[in-house]
Amino acid sequence: MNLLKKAAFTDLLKGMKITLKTMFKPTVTVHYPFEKVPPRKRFRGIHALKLNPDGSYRCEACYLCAEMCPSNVIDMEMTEGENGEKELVDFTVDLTRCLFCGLCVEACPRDAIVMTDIYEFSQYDIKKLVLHKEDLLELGRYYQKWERERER
Amino acid sequence: MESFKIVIDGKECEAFAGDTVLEVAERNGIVIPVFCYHKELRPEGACRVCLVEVEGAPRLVTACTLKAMPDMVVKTNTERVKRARAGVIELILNNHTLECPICDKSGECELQMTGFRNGPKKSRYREKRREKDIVIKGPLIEIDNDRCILCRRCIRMCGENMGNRVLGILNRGYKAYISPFNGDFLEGGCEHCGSCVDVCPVGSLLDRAFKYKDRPWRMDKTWTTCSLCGSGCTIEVDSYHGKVKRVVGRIGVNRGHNKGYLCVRGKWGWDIIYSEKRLKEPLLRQGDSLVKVDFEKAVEVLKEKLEGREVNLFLESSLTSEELTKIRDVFGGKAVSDSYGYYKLLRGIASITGALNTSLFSSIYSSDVVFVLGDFIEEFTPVIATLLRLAVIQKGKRLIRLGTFPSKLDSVSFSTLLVPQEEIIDTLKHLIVGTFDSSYQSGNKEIDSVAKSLRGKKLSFVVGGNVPFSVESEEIGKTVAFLADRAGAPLVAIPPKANSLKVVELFDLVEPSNLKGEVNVLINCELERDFPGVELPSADFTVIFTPFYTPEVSQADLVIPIELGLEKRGTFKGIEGELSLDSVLETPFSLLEVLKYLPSKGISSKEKQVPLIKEPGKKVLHRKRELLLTVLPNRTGWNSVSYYSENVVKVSGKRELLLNSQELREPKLVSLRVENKELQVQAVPDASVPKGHALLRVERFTRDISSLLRGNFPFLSGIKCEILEA
Repeated sequence: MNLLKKAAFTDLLKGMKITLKTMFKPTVTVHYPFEKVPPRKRFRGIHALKLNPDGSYRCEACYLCAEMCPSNVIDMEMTEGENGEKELVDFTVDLTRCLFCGLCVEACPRDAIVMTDIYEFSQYDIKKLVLHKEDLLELGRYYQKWERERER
Repeated sequence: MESFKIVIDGKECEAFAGDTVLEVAERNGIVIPVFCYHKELRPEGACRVCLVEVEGAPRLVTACTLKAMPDMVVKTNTERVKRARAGVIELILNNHTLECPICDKSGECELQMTGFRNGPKKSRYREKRREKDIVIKGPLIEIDNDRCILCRRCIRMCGENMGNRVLGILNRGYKAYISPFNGDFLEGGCEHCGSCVDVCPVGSLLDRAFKYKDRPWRMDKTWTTCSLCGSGCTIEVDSYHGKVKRVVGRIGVNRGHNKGYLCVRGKWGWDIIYSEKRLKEPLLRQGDSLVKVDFEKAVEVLKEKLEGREVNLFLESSLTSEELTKIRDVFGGKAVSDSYGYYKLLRGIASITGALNTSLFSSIYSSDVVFVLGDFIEEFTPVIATLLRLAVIQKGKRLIRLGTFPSKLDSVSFSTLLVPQEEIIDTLKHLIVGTFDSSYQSGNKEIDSVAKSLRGKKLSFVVGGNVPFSVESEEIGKTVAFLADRAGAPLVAIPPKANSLKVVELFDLVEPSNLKGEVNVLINCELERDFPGVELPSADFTVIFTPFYTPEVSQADLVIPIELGLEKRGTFKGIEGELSLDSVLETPFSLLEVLKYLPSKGISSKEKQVPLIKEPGKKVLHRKRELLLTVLPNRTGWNSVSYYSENVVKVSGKRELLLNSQELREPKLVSLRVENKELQVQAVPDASVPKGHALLRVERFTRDISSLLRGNFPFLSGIKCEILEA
């Protein structure tokens, strides 16, 4: 029996059966730098600051996100704006320390800080990993566009 | 004092007659939430959040106003009390805006804290929230009435403790809001002491310089000593990432002798650190211009120029004791200082007591009657004036003041003797006899009644304000010290500058005309401000150590930047013994760092001896037809803050000459003449200025005032002058 099995190459054929089955299916492997996987809906990528529809900052610099942060990533500067309202001067997110837990997003009372789907942010210069207000607002515009598309 | 026992929450507590239940509970570690009660203020019972249950009483009572009585049984934690508390907080929160994320108070807000601990879990209120939408913006203080809970702490602080009565409640009932009486802080007479901002339990009264600048909980808090006047207040400097954000006094928490009370200089003058006129590098003269040089080069030039030469040392008295010791070591012990007038006063006192020193300020608290001599204490040392006021209204001392001009202290003083400036010494002499001899008649009823109220009491004496700058300062010192010595009472001479006492102790202070050196060295001073009426002596070389681009920089050969008071570590010899400075700020330049490189002259310290005379002083001022001029810097003046602080300049006032309303009928431009110098100035009639006196209020000392006062240094008061038509 054993000998017969060996002579007929049944094991090999079994394996070849799976090969034959999957040969005509679409490939699963993603060629990463050339192809990308769209992240899931609640993916936590790098941060962004949303803007109000009229273009003003949504962030009121209440510092709650920074207070919540377990690894001291966020820092901000604030001042009194020209019309007597609180204005954000600078908002820094130090990605070298961030562990993407998302607690800052939970803490935000104005839904201003969000996490985008961007996961590729490696840099040659470590200073570029500290995001400032302009970078975050740029990301915020990207996020809001993405958000609108997602809802559609 | 006899004590008795009361029971709070089953705990037996010791109470004294006059204590409220809240005070007893606080001493025993039982927490009762409060809004309108404040340690430094008179209890009011407005907010009703401190309700407690007392056995035998039908209703709940407010602990802050309830006096403790023997065998009282108080419960602070029953279900009934908790429900009442939560109800009160619910009602307060109904109309309180939910702006915590942007409010500057959040994090140190008492409503936030009390609301979390004792408040209801949710609100049952369905109506629309009341929106008053009244924001009153002053130059330095802003009132946001939406956040106000009408506890009236600010009103009591302003009206009772500070004596200004600027703030009040406008409208009634539902529409009530806090405002200065005519909506304008400056017009309402606000001194901008910042105490109302300090005691506000919510974020209704705001410091405009700090508004939206930072979050209270994330800042580094440093306790240091203010170096801007002789009060030597303990202040808390809040900074973030090495940048000062605000200065707070923390009334009720502060452990310094100032108890947290501040003035406009201490509270808002911190921004001189970030003044545009701050000097950043050493400057060296090359030809006609000053060029920037590096630190090593500056020290090298300085070393070379100082070698073997005699120095004209000009010294400002808000340097730390460590710096002063080093300065004496390097430049020698002969100096001209702005404490010269104070030195004269102390010398007068020392000729009776034998020591160039003053009693501690706290010694007035162990006396019954405080005799204050001097005018304008609230201008020169504002916090000392506040403390004298509080000694009356909180500790029940009797205040008797002798002076020439009316003062805010008169509203709380037991009696005030206002005599012309030339008669102050005579009046003091009458008091010397009258205080100890009941049969003595001076011929003046007021003096006799004051002498009577001094007789047989435990006395203390305070000399300050413009006395160190008076022409008669030394003689006044002798006379008042003679009176204090006979009464066996402590005598407090209030120094005008933060470290005046140490300057007097370390240096031989001389007249500016006695300086014959070859090198001028100016440390931390400005000639016009600190030495009005003095010209820079001609010398081969002029070195200026200064934090700012002062007007003298143009005459200098070498300018070296130094740090400011808030950036220093060290000690002051102040009115309350040794006061320490601390700082978290870093500066690239330091005075001690420069002095380290300079060779020491090795001057041995010797105790200064003042011959004992034990005689009252003699009258110096004699007036015929002239007026006696007093030049008075405003409360903001006479410090670097009035020149370089943007905050303080907003409230600095203006220059005007005040004359008695009988001598001047209506405001007009006049020419003020001192000897042969003239100054055109706007004169205003003022009923409070006594006849025969002229009061020149200045926001800061400038060149024209300095030249008017030429040759009068260090005197600012009692200068003979005439008024001519412009």
